[in-house]
Amino acid sequence: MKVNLDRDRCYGLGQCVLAAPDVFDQDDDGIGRLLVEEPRPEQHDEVRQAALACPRQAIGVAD
Amino acid sequence: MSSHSAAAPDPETATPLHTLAPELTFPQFERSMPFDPPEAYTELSGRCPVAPVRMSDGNPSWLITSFKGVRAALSDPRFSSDMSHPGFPNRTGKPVDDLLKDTLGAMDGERHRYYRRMLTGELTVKRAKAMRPVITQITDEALDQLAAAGPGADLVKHVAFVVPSRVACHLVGIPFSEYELFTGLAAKLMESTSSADQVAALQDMVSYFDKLVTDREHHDRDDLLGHMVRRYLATGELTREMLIRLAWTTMAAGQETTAHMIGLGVAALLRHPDQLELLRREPHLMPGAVDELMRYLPMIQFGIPRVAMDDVEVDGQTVTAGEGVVALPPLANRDPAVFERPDELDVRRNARQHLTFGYGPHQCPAHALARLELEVVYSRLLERFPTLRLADSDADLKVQDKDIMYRVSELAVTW
Ligand code: HEM
Ligand code: HEM
Ligand code: SF4
Repeated sequence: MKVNLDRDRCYGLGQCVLAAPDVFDQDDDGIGRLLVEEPRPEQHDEVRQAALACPRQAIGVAD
Repeated sequence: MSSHSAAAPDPETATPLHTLAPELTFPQFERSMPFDPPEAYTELSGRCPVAPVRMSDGNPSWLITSFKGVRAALSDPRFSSDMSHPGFPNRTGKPVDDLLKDTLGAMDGERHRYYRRMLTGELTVKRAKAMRPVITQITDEALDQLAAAGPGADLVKHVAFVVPSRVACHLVGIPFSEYELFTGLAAKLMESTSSADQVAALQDMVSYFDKLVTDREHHDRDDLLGHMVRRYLATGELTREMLIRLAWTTMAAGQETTAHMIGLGVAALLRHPDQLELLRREPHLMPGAVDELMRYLPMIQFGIPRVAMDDVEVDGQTVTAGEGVVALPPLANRDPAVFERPDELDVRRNARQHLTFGYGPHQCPAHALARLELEVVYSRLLERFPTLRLADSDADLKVQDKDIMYRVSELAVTW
């Protein structure tokens, strides 16, 4: 799985950090940041949750 | 075309709102169960998720009750939050409040994004987590007050109304010693009945914040005001006027909402003993329980209003430019297409997608802080009072069901 985060769309809502804290972080302005681009299989579920929860649809997931 | 969820309008479904007979008057108040939304909405939602309604001021609006429809409307940039627009739904029947002009909640597009980003940095998940010890201390002090008042004490008065405003004071940078001064100013602002009173009350609030800002211009302080003064006032990205407006509206937006979720949430747990028991046995379920309570409880009962700036299709219905919509989270949160057994409170379910914080660019920027506050308050309460129960378990709950937010007005508890 590959994840991408569109920082231009991101509004810094942090839903991704709550859903998958080991994959997403926020910078000092709250804008989302990827900690890893290829999450481990046991993280895939959380990452899908994060993509679903993001109110800006800023997270893309490719299997 | 971006990856946006709303499709282009289909001329077939484009019927101007004012030509349709309203399905009901909004808001509705009649309900048979204290934790359920009025039945009239539930019935309507099943057959017409985007329905024409008549607002209490007589004007027509669309009422959106499906999960899909609420998400589509609140995340679509063709819907505006400009409450001075003539098509903007008026939910209270009162004139639009001058107080809210040019606040974050009423801005759109780039202007909204510009100011909003200054606030999100103050409210990240990391920053919320760093506040856990302070929130715990504030909560424990409130629980001391509850214990001191003795069995039969009102949890709304001693806990629900105390914790969120103290946490907001800490966040923004209002000294605890001036807490009562601030709540006095806020009460005057909200209770003002004439516009002259309101202007005077607002002036007092602005002068108070002006002093706090001046203090930060001379001293480094580690709070929202201090950070904003250093990062944005000093660089000219923020005027003094706008900084003060952002600060006091953040205080205002964060208090009643969180307070009412504390009162309603505790009432719901005490009325669902099996769920309460489960949380006592398995405290690690609490973060999930917070989201489930937010899903289940119909607090944002007057919904979230917007006005269409262009023709937009929402869940199969075309909304024409200039028409208003009201997105109703309490109904969307019980959409059977998304949540199984939607009318059941089940703290084990994954309810994180609920829409009680809104959705899209205006979604509550403080959701992580609010979630943490609720988690700490519910958890500490159950730990401290292992036998907590309603003082009168047979009496009807005392609710305030006519205001913008549905809530319990009083909750007498014993232990
Ligand atoms: C950026 C500005 C603000 C935002 C985003 C905001 C947001 C909210 C939200 C989401 C609610 C829940 C009910 C609803 O409207 O659906 C609410 C209720 C409320 N707000 Fe605000 N608010 C803001 C500013 C203010 C200000 C400036 C005041 C006071 C003058 C205020 C006073 C209240 C009160 C009193 C309620 C609860 C009403 C009740 O329970 O009867 N808010 N606000
Ligand atoms: C359980 C508690 C809370 C609930 C249910 C809640 C709900 C909401 C909702 C529904 C909105 C979006 C309104 C819209 O789309 O027009 C909102 C916006 C907002 N909330 Fe909250 N909120 C809560 C707690 C807080 C707290 C603790 C703070 C601050 C410390 C806060 C600050 C704000 C601000 C500043 C906005 C305006 C954001 C914008 O318009 O961009 N809220 N809230
Ligand atoms: S949930 Fe979406 S908008 Fe929020 S920080 Fe993550 S990527 Fe950004």
